[in-house]
Amino acid sequence: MIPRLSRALSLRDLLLLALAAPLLAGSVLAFLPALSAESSQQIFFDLLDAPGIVSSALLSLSAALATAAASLSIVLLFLAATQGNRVGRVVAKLTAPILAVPHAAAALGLALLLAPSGFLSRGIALIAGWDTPPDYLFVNHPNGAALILGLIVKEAPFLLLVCLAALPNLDAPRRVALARSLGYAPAKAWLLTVTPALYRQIRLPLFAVLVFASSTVDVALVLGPSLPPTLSVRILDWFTAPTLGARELAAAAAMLQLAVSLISLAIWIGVETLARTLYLYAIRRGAPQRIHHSHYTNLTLNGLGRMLLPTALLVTGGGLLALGVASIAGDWRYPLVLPADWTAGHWIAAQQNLFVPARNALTIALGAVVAGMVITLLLLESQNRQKRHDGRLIWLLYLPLLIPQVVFLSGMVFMAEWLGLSPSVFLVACGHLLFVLPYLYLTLSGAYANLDPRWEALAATLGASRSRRFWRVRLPLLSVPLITAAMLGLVISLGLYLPTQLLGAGRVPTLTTEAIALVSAGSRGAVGTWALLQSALPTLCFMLALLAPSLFWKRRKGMTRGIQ
Amino acid sequence: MGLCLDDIELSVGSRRLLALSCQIEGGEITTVMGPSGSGKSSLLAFIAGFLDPDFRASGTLRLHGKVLNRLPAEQRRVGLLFQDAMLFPHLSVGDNLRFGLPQKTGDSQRQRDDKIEAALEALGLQDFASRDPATLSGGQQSRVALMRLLLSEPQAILLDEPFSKLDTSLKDEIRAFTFDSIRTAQIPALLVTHDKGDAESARGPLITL
Repeated sequence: MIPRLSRALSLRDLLLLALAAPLLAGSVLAFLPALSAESSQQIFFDLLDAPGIVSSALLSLSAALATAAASLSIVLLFLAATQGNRVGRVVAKLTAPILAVPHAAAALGLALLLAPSGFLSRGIALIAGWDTPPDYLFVNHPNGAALILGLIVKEAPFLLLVCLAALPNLDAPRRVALARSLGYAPAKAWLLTVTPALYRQIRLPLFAVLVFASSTVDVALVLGPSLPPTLSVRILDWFTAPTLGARELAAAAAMLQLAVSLISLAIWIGVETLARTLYLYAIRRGAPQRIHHSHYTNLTLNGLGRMLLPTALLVTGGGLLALGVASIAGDWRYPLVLPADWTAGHWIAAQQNLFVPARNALTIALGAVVAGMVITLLLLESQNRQKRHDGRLIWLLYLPLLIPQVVFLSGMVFMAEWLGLSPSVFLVACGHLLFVLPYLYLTLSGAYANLDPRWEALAATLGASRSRRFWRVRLPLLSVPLITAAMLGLVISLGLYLPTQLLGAGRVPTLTTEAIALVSAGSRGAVGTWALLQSALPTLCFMLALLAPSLFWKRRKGMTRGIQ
Repeated sequence: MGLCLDDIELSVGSRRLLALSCQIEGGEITTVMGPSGSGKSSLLAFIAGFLDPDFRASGTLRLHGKVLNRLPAEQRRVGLLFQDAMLFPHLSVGDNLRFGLPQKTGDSQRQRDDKIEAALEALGLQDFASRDPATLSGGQQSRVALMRLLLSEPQAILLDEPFSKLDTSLKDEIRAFTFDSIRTAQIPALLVTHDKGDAESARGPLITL
């Protein structure tokens, strides 16, 4: 009986279940205040009576669908138009550092760039001769356009890197060559032959984008409308409001949020089916006649493909530049493109309040990454020793990306309160661990599987025991992917807003929470300074990930061969 | 004595790959030749202790009278030489040699260093101990790999087409050096190869699958 049970449920499975337990419990507990209230029906009526609740829900839904659809189109067009040529490779290299910029900082930069008195408007004023800011609303517009733009400029680079990781196994050049020999122009050939195979591999990350966009809080606080805000922001507001009954309302809204995220996934899956039908229709129409080679379509595809993604990167880069200028701007009256005088005042002011948020951010990130690394290596090594594949339960690791954060985190706060755990750096780090783990596992499982099994065999025949093989052979040989994964984990943790805010109950300030806190209250200069401070650590991590391997293995050329 | 393969049978599912028995004395190099997919590499994996769980094996492996079948790879004292030199890229040349050096009691650090230095000298690679293995030529790498194997004091050696990736100009030299070293050390060896030239210069029994 016992051996059969252990085969059914290995230690590894137990570890995965233990990791998913707080998450699943949190997802259920989040609804508890609404369900356990004296008249739970009344709470749902109250929710429906809340002004603008339908707009909030629709806003979240449309943000999710628009972000996912636009990001995917931008990335596919870019890949189809460049197909790994020099331009494509250069842009792909620029994508990684842009990805290191936290969502909050990118959103704050975008707001500074596109506000009525922002950089863009001043640039136009220079040419058009305006002397007052134009009267338009883009940032915080009720239609959510700024929110969606803010999400696209971060999610498109993310999807691009996911695609670039999947492409080498798809043999795209041969597929394209075949289609071209049948008369299709290059970009169209790529779209028709590579997309179906690629799509299967990026479906899960795409679902994560949908769920994230449907429930983001930090980007929505900066760029989203305020009357009414997105559903997720309203949940946070109710959740932290001291008024009686607000928590019950938050719990009911959390159920609505989960429904909105699920509906966005359902609609997406419906669109997938439609796209498959259209694809088959396009294929069955047959190859184009060589004579009417659809020149315009090809030019449009190529043009859009080459323009859109670099524009998205440029927007984030321009936003960072705007933050930088704002942080040292003194007198900066409207039509002037650059400030009339400069000041270090914002930086000096920030310096006094910097220590605690920076220390918290680093402690939390390091704690989450170290713990995440140990867990990931335990999972991978147990799998390696039993010579097994991923196993049935590995999907549990990806749950934090597929359930709206605001839902399971609010439930986890109840759980922590019930267990008597007070908000602390430790509790926040545990929350961050859940978000860091899927990325660590994703990065390292490939490296683990690709390591030549002969190294292990060789070390064993030289008399090395299992633990010596692990510490002296496997870990050093994997040191480069280990460094990359650790840095990615740090970047993710340093950018997280909601887990920090909720599990820390506002009492564990980090660089990210401080930057967001300034949105409503702070001056342009303070926002610029803190957003840059928030981006500084992730950017440093990113540069370390690039430089560390070759510095660390300076005298061992074989360790960094093939990285470049 | 020596390496004794007694009624060895390997199979995948219901397909039998190979069946053989043989006895290899110290200093003798037995060659196994056969087409791809005939189970040559699986035979070596079975003897070394790494047979994939998808395979089934029966028969008894004996090394100097001791039954190996149930021992973990690191306790079998069966050494392996691959197509590639496979010097650990994260270790210096000296540390590569030191990796398999048995930890004997009463052996001081100094004595171990002397052993490594002497081994490098025998290869004509004095003062190479601190070098990065990636800076060695192909021939030098092969020689260091063989020396690392010999320093680990194996009681049997398995050779998995170890010369197939070498240039023709290097091949004869490295092959002669390897076989001479094995004969001098009086270690039983099993060679798996496609190359008739390997079998000829091994000068031992030939098993064709």
